[in-house]
Amino acid sequence: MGRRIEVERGAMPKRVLIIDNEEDIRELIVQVLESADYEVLRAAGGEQGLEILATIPVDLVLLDIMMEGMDGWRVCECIKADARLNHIPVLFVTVRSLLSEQEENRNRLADGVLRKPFSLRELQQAVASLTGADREA
Amino acid sequence: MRLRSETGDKPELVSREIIAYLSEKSTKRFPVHQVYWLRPAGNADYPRHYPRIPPGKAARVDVYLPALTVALTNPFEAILERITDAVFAIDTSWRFTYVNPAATRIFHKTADELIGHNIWILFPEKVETDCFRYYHQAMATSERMEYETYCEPLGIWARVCLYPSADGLTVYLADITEERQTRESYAAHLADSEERYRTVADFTYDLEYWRGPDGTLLYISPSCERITGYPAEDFFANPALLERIIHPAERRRIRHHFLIEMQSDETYTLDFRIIHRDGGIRWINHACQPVYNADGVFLGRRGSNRDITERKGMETELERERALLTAVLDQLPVGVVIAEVPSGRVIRANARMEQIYRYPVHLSTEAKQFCRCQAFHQDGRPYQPEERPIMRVVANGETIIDEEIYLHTGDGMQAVILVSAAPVHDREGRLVAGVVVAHDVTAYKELDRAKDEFLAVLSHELKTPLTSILGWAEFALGQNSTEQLQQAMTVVYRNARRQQRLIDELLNMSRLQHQRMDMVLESTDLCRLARAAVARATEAAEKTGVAIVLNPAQDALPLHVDPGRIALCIDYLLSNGLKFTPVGGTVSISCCSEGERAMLIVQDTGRGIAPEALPIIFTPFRQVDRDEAAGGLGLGLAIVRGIVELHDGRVTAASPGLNQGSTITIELPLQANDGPSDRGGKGRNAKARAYYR
Repeated sequence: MGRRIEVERGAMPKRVLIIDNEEDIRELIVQVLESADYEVLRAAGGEQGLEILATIPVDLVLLDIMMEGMDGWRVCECIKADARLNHIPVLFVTVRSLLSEQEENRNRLADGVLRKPFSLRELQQAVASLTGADREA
Repeated sequence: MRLRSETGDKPELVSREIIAYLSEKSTKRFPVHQVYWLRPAGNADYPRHYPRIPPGKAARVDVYLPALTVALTNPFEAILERITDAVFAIDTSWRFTYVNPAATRIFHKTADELIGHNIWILFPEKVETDCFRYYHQAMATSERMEYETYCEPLGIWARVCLYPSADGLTVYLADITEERQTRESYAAHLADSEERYRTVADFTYDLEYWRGPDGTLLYISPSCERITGYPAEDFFANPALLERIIHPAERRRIRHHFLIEMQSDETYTLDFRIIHRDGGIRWINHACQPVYNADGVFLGRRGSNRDITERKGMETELERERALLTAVLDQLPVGVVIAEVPSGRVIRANARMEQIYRYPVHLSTEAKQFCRCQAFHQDGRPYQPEERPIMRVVANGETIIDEEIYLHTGDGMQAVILVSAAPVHDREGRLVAGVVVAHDVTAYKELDRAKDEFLAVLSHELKTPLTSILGWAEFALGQNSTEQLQQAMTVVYRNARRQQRLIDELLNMSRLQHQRMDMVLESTDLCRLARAAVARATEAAEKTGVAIVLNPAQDALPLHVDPGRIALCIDYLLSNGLKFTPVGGTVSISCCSEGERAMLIVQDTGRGIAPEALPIIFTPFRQVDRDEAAGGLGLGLAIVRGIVELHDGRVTAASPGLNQGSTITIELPLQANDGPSDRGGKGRNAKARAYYR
């Protein structure tokens, strides 16, 4: 099913959902990705992010971990547990380091981890690799 | 005569005929006043109405002479005819009524020469002798008499028993010459041994004395002078001296001993103090016992008194050492348990151990029972009884260093302890005890966890604005448009300020903790500070959708404080209120005075504070249920308390409960009218006073 969507949306710009409660970081990512021709959707929290995912198909989710209410790990678990969403790659964008073993395990649920602070190049590469944009280019 | 069955049934009086029976059946002689165990041989054919003595069984037979008296006119004569002791009877007119053959031999007369004749006429030489008086006395009083006498005609010693009755007097006379000889030689021997005893006693190291049956001092060894300071003569001259030298505190006890215990047949020992002639105190170990001669006659009591002052001194020292050890153990910040080997019993446990276990610790319980708290390994596996350190050290002499154990304590809480154990060996290298030391590290563990948590928060809080700064700066570098540059630099500036606030928060906390916060005191007005703080917070309040309401006091509230620091406190309280109040809520700030105190009250309609969290919200690094979105290091309230206390003020928090809002009140001393406040400044803000303007 995921395959089908990809085929359908093949020629269109990749759509990325960014879920982060830090407005300044969220907007930075939006600016950077929009200037690289991605279509970017914003959510300030996990619940809002899942609402968007339920209605709008996306190619990648950038997900902060430490957030009010639902944290990034929970959001990721919801995505991976949902048959309609689990094909969507998830990239954790987090300052969280010094992780416990348990937290490392939860991180493995995602398709990649981008540590804050990141360089814009790191961000672009990670997003391109997970959306498959690098292969198409 | 009485016959008792062996099983101790009630004794039954048995008719005198049994004497005859026993005499006929047995070759044994039965002297009176004796108790025998008799075992009839074969079929006992004594009269039927006597209690049965089953063949081969023994029965106790008491033989009384009164029975014999009656027997004289009866078939018992047969016995009397045969016995070697002389038996004769005299009627109330002093005439012989019966003589047995042994008696005729003593009197050197035939029975016929004696029977019917007056004893005093036959033996006039006896009149007015002791014998004459005894006979008359017995006859007159009807009381049984017994005495020993020397019989001239026979040249023998005799024991004479007189048994008066209504018919007259029965006399029993036994030859005791041999017995006397034995006794005399024994007496000689005794005198000799007394001499020897005296010689030994005179050289004894202990104080030996002998008191007669009436308490008279008969002997005291010369060592009394060394032990008491008084020579033996003093004790003989002054019988009360023995009691007088006893320490006053002991007199009651000793008097009891002399009055009660000494009357008994027991051997007693006791320790007491005496006062030496030199005024010093000596400890005495006293033992006394009754003394009897060979015939069982009570001769008084022998007392032996050892000077144990030195030993007592050592015992006292030992007791002191023990008390010291107990005190030291109880002062230790670690729990200590000592169990002995091989019994495995706990012989010592200090107070701290009870505090750790939250169980009363009972000594001399077995080590296994001692471990009442459930224990778990770090990975959650429960400890088996034999795995517990105390069991391992007692069983195998194992040495254990800092084993981390998780405990379920007696009060239902959890504790983490580091346990070390070491075996104790005696000089021969045998394992005699195991010592276990438990260090409660629950608080350290908690601190450690809080530190990790704080570091994680700190790293998050510093890296978040840094991400924006670096990202937007890098983004700006690639931009030509002024508008986009402007947007980027605004974000960079905002996040740099945010980082600065965090660093200030850290530094302020650090300065407060190290008591190095410098303050510049000025006269100011609390209402003015509150107004300025509200103005600063308005933008943030509008952004979060929370209303801020200011209720200033009627009059100015003059303070002499560091205005910058107090403003910072108000900022913290307002931002806290905004942080924890949902959209549509209100944060109100009021100023008023109460006596000599100015009060600033910040009240919000936010999520409130749980009752259990109230006591720790001002404690640094203990942010309760930290809200990720709220941001900050959670040190705000701790800093507020630190600064307010530096101004001799007080900060308190109240909340009716979760989601019911909270109220935080700052109290500061009002400035007196005559210039800068001189109140407070005792100790804590001494540093601040150096900056008066």
